[in-house]
Amino acid sequence: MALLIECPNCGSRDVHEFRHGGEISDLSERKGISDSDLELTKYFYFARNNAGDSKEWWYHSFGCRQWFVAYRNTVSDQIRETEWPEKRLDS
Amino acid sequence: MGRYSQLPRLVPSSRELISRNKMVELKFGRHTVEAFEGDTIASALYGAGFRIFSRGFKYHRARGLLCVSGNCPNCLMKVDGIPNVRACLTRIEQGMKVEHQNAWPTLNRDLFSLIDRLDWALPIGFYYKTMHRPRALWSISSALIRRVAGLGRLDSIASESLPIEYHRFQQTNVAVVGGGPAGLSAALAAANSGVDVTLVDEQSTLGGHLRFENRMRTLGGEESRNVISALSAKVEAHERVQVILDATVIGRYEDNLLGISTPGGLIHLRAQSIIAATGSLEVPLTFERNDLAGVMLGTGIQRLINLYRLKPGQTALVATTNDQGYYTALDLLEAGVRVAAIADTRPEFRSDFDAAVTLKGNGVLVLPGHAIVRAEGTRTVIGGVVAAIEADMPTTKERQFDCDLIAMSGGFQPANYILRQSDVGIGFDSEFDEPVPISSSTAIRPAGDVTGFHNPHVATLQGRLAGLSVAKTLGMQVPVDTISQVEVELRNAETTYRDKVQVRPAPIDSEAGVKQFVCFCEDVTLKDVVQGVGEGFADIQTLKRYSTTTMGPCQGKMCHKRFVEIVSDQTGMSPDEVGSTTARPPIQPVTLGTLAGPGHMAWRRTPIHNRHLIAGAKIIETGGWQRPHSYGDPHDEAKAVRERVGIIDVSTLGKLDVRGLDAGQLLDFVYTHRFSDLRPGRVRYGLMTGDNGTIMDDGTVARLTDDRYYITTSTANVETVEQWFKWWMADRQICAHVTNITAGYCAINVAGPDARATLAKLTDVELEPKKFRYMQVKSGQVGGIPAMLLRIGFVGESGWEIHVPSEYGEEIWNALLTAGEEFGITPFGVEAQRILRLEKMHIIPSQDTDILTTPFDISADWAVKFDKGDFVGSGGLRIAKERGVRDILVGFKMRGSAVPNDGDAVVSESGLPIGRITSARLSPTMGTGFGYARVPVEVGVEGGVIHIRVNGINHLADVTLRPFYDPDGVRLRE
Repeated sequence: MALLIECPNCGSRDVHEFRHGGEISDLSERKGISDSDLELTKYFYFARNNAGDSKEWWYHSFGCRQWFVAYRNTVSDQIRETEWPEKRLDS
Repeated sequence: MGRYSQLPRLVPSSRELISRNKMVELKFGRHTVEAFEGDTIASALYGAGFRIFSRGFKYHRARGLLCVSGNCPNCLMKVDGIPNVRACLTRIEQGMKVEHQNAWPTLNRDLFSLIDRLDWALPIGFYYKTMHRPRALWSISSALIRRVAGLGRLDSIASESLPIEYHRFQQTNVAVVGGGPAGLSAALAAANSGVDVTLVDEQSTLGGHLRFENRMRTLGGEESRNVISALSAKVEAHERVQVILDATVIGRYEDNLLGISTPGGLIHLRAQSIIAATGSLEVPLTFERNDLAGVMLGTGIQRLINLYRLKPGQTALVATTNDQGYYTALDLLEAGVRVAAIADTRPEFRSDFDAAVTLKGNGVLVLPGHAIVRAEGTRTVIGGVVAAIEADMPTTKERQFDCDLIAMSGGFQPANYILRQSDVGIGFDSEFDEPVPISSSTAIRPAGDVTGFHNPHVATLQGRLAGLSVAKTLGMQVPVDTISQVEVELRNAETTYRDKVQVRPAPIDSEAGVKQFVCFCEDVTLKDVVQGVGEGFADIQTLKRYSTTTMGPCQGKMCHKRFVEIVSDQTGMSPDEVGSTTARPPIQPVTLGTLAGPGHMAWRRTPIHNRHLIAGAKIIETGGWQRPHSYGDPHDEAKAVRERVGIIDVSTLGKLDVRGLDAGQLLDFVYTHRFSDLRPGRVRYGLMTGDNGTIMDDGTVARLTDDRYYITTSTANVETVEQWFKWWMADRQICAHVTNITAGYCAINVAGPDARATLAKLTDVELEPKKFRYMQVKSGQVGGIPAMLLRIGFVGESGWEIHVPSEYGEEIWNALLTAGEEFGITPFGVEAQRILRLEKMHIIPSQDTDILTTPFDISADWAVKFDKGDFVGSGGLRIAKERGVRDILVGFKMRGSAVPNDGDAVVSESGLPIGRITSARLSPTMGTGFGYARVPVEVGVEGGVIHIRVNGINHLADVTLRPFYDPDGVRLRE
């Protein structure tokens, strides 16, 4: 994979500096002790794996070592936007 | 066997690459060849009289030099043990060992060439047609085919001595690919406008095709060769330009990344903008026996003449579809070669074409409206036959010429590979008879011959315009006037060129013979391709796969143009409709070693590493670190810990500093039990699971102050744990700071009955059992060094983990050894530690657990606090709790003398595997094999008996759920 990713802290860096942390979707929404076995199983083991727009966690492991959110198209591999997770919670 | 020296070369020229006063010797098979420094393997051998360089892939026909530019398969050789080296690009070195490939016993007499007479049995797709029945025959026939067909072989011996190829990561404003007139002009224009430029060229010198040919003798009123050398010098001297020579761009990847293969390894070059001045490749014509040694591309011949000053033959026949053949003919005359005739497919002689007029004036027979139909000879050329063309087909009006060289030019294939790997659109220009870029992109711009304009004047203008435009895009001040002035000049030059250009593709006559090769790599003939279309493979992509045309080492560089022409001719589709095959990387062959690069594992060392080396430790690599396995006998070391005192370097432990308002809340959330209620000065064991409830890691959590925790993790997991903490902080919006301070602290565990007495000599901290309890943490000075003391006991003895800043590591290690001398202190390694912790049944995550293991499976129910509210793993652990334990981790002790290996199977009475050994050792205290096993809960009961298969034999072992050593933990607290 050859890609540039805009870290909200460090700016545009090579993909080798980052770790992909999985999608952020309805299925990745956290489930806990009071949720049903079915809901928990879906949360543990399923992902949308959308061909197209995907909201994802990324970690700048060889940089500022912070997690951020990226909007990536999984088909074209274009990253539309990156932002801090605070914004994610506000929206 | 023999000694070959060089035949006389042509008179010296300013453009030659050889140093005539420096001789270099190389081995070619059993021969010794002497040549000039600066020669390539190909020019050295050609100059010594060799004409056959390889054998065909399938038919083993003799092949000679063709392109002399690294774009065809004809000169692939084994050099110093490395197969498939392009001899025409590889400069000779003293003592180089060059061997031929794919021929037996010799290149000149290759017995496999008998296959050439069996061509009737090897039609297109013969694999699919003949090899499928009977099935059993396939393994035999495929083995035979692999032996006979193909390229060079890789020696396993040679691979060990291959050079290490490094990967370099670079970035630049503008990458210019190609150092010809367009690339040089582009680089200079961009650099002069203030941007950084990296110029890459595959050859050893700049100049592109103007290094070796005279397509245009003058440029702006000056000799073009002088113009280009002045331009090269300017570019090389420019402070904003980095020139990388002998470097092949193997592909363009996302976000303008170029992979560049160089003699030192692979460069990953990230460019804001790319200028593709990649030029074009002259391609062969198809005619009977067009693969004989002595049939060459015109530009190949020009390279031999002008770069290496070789006289390529005595008499030449030139066949062309465009102007290029005439320039070749001029060079041939200049080199003293007689030109028998020029067969030009275009119907008329043009009196406004200077080169043609000059040739005619020199008595050369120019034959417009003629095409070459066959070459004569068996291995090398002895003659050629041309025929008049009528209605696009050769007629029987033939003329024969004796010659030892045939120069052919089937037109140009643009080297547009990096353009096709981007979003630039490519369309077919019928006037040029070439695919050309038809849409542009700011990321990558074409310039020069790759656009279909084969004119250095146009190329320099295109290059200059591209360079200026790129600089402007990148935010530089470029006067609008300058750009529009170049645009006007370029438009005029392009129109002038277009008005004059005349190309006429050669006729396609599949009846003219069965040895008209289209693809030299895979030995695909014109007849094969025509037959493939006839069988229904009319789509170029499927025909490619069926016939293997364009699939050889050259990846279509020699055959793609003709391939499209044939499909177009056979199907009636226009070349635009036929399209092209996909231009996937790598563009040029690249070795796996280049792609792999050197080994990447960087091993870390502790601050005390040198002490361990001096003490003669056996070092092992584990968890990303180099650590002492043992200093002698691990059993003696274990015994010393149990009986006296031992010290071990545990600096490899992951160390995290966690502080902030919500630090306690964070730890409550990520661990399975509670830490917010941990009192400052206390330490607690921590177990961490994923949200599904399976164990991730364990460690100790020490609370130093109200808002500060000091955490240790498993050696290999600290990175994961740090990311895990930060991920939940980001997700839950928890206000805390996590800092990985693993490298900042050195840690030493001093343990054993005499640990207290040893440590007491060095510190004022009260160590008495009632003053410094098990699972407490205190700060103080140890040997005058600020230290943190954690009273914990992984190995099961009374002991302390001493954490000090890394720079004091060696000092405190030495101080402890000196202080403990009177007690017989012994340093111990990882192996002794593993035995000791196993006797205490302390787990190592990932060793004794796997991705399915929950805390309940290791009987750590006490570490799971459901009452504290939501935490990571609470859902998964609830399910696990309700479901109940299926497999449990238990201790076992062998009844006999056998010692199992980690990973051995636990089997049922009937011999079926039911579990596995996660850790096993020989216990120095018990004298038997013992360890941890993961078994079904029915057999994993106190007093149970299990069968363990060791080296194929089942042995009995007793199960225990309590530690083997000091089960009540009395010694830990003493």
